[in-house]
Amino acid sequence: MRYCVFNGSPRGRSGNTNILLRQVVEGIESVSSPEITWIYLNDDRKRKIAHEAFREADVVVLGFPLYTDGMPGLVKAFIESLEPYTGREGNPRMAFLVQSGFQEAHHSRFVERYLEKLALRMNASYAGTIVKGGCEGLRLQPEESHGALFAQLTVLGTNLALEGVFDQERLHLLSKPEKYSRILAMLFWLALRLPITQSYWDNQLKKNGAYEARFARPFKENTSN
Amino acid sequence: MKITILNGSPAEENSVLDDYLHKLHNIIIANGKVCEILTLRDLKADFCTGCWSCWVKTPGLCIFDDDSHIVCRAVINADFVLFASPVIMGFYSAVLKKFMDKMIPLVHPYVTVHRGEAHHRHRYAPRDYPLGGLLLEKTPGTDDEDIAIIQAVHARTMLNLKSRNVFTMLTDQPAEEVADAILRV
Repeated sequence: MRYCVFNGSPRGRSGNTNILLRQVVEGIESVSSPEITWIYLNDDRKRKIAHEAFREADVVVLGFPLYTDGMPGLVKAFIESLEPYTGREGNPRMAFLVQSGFQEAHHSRFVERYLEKLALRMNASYAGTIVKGGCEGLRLQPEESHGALFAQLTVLGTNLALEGVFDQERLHLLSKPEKYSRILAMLFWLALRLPITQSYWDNQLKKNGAYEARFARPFKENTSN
Repeated sequence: MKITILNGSPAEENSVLDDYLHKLHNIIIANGKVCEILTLRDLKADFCTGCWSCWVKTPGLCIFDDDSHIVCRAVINADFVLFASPVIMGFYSAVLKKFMDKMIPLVHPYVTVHRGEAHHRHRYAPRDYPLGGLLLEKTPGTDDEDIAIIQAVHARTMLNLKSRNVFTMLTDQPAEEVADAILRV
């Protein structure tokens, strides 16, 4: 089987998407001997010819971080390059992975609906979409702390290799929480009053000498009308 | 009332949307409003690199000195923004999406809870964020589900831009009707 893994992260190899995709691929490799091609869509040159790799593959996995509630612009540019293959007989099976900084899967459900429709548009079998929130800090934390998450992703990779689709129940468990419960939302809201909870951003702002300017409004004009 | 129209058509020539927006612009001007069209394909900017300098190094500004600054300035100082694009592969164009991604300096990295969901905090005063509208040009292969999907994603984007999508209209409808919908806002 020829797999093509498209990493749609603007951060490419050093991003969180790559960490997640690697686990899925590990699962695929644990139960089969696939031929795997990795394409990093943040490379302008590679993106422009990426549609050729799509055409040649049996299975594609497209992963990206949620950007303003959809796919990053460079992923949309890649999808537009697939237009000549719309509805083609023999298009590869399509699997997706969407990860977000926000914890709740709800944020990613809107683009997930788009991805399912995209597979239909391509006349491709839809293998499902892995949705995982709370991923922003992933690359900064030690790999050992992600054991449970990695194990889940690996099993999803074996699902894809053996059954051709991700297991729905497993996707559901992995994507939790869908939304915050009312109590959790209130506790979270309260916790956000504490300075410590924004320290992820504050530490970076301070390191860059930009903390005092953090509320800057550089584009505001004095409007007269 | 100040209106900014973001033209997301990638077509260099014979763009149906270009002509449509030109007409719409003239109707709005004739009604005494300030209206500006930004033709995004003519503006220079690379895709967002996810460096987040606009949040942690140069707060509120993309660290790359490109035309996304023009777009951000035009958006935050408008009362109403019309997001206009042909439907390509079931979504709005890559060039429009590129500039949407580059609008994150308009919000703050701090997370807050809004309607029970995590969202980013506003950077500008809440009243500074413009209301939005979506104008789509159907192309061969576009169906009603595509329009519904785009509308649903866009409503979320506007929510994260501290605003809301007031209407979704199609270029099948006369420009006068779209102008009316904008002028009623």
